[in-house]
Amino acid sequence: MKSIIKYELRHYIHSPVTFLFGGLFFMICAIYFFIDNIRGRSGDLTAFYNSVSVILLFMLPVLTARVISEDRKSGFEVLLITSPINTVQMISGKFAATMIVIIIMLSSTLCFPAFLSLFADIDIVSLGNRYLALLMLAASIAALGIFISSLTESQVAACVLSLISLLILFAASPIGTAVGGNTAKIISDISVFSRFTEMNEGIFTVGTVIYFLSFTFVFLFLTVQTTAYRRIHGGGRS
Amino acid sequence: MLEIENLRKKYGNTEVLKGISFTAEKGEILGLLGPNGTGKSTTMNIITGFISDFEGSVRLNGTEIVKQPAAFKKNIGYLPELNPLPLNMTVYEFMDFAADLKSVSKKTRKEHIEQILESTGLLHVRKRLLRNLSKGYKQRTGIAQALVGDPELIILDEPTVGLDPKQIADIRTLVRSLAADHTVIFSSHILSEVNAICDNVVIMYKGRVLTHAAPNELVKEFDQHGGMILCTEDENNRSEQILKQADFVREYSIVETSGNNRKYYIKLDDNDFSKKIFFAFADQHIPITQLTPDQFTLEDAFLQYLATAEQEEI
Repeated sequence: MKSIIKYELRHYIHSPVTFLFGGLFFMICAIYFFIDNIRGRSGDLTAFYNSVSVILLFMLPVLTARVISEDRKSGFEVLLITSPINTVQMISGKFAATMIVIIIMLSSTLCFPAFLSLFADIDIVSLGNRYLALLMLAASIAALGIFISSLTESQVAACVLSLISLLILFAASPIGTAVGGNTAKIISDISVFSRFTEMNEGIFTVGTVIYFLSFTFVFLFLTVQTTAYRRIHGGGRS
Repeated sequence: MLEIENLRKKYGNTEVLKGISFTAEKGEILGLLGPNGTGKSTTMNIITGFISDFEGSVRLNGTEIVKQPAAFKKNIGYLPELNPLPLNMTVYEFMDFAADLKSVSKKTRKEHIEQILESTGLLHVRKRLLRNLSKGYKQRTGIAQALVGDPELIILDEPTVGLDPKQIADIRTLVRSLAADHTVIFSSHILSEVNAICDNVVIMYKGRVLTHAAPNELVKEFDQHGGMILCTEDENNRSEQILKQADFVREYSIVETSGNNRKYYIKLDDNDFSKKIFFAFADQHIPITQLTPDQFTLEDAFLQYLATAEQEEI
């Protein structure tokens, strides 16, 4: 698994898209921080981190689209599958490397609460809760993105499909509210974004953590299964 | 020793492998031949562990791929047909990555990689990015990564495709040198190449093994009638009459006529009768411009096998 993490990280480091992507992420976060907290003269970071979650929604599909589709297209997947590492190690390694990049990106946003702490009191526990929520949300989005990346050889298709899926999940909460009743609760419950909003507002429940972990696990499991399915069918070559 | 036993594989309702069995010994280069869509790639994909769902057994020195996939794969080096390389890595970095995948000990890794780079002629380009290498060097790198971990079995899927003649010759020499310490399975559509490199060949057709033998044995099997090519310069068109009258000519057929030049395919009872042919034509003052044995090649044997298989199907 370590070899896959190293391979993936090397890929991220050598790709200009990673730096462009990271820079863009930081810049948009800075703009939202300026709008929500500096211009709004507010010490409450809830709106800012909600914005960060939306930025992740739009940006992470770009990051995850290539994770498996590129190896499939180039044929490099064949070398990985025929090596002694198994499919679970392969997918876990790719996911772990993506999470390392995401953690670095999210870490860069720590400068905003640090800056704000010069002028207002920052609750460290609450801040930790927000970052835990962001991390779990990002892990869920990454797992979904990697799963979709395993379904196609086209990075563009993987990116678009991931974005559409995430927008549906994002829209689930307001749709649920519009529908009302028990259906609203069910629809709202399946949305990673409404779960994130709860945690961002300080409502920490074990159920939410289990939900995020389950969401991530299910999509990673599905990714392993789709890769295994391709091995069974051998890509159709004879 | 690689043992393939009764390998069967279905894609949906189509059975692409119908009970393939063959073996390959250590030090042997085994060529896998067959028309496209005949099951060669599926066979190789199963041996390399890329396809996991099949019937039958694949054993390498007693290790079964299904029961111990990691141990089996550690003993295999594979160069896929497309030779996928991470172009943003240097040759050494890629070799280090391959060593990581095969859990080669860090203590001996550097020495091991450098030894492979030297034997494959890559040592002087080890710091070069893969994207900056020529196709020949890329192909060498693909073979070099297959050697990482010193695997028992090396599988090379069309390793000379797209190379220039010099590069092809270099790769052939390299593959030949591998046979000393490894079992090599080699797939190619270039039959002269298979003939030059392989100790044995397996000819596959529609998911079955038609034959498994040394290339020269296959050629011998069909080349037992001693055909010859005879070209004459005959102004009065008497060659055919001479051939008709000669009792040592079993059969003949005209291949080509151009002006006074005639080309025949003749079958003699024995090739030693070529002297008699010479004197028969010399007596009539008809110059022979060519008299050569029509050598049967591996390609002819291969086509003959396929034709026989097709006829049997009909």
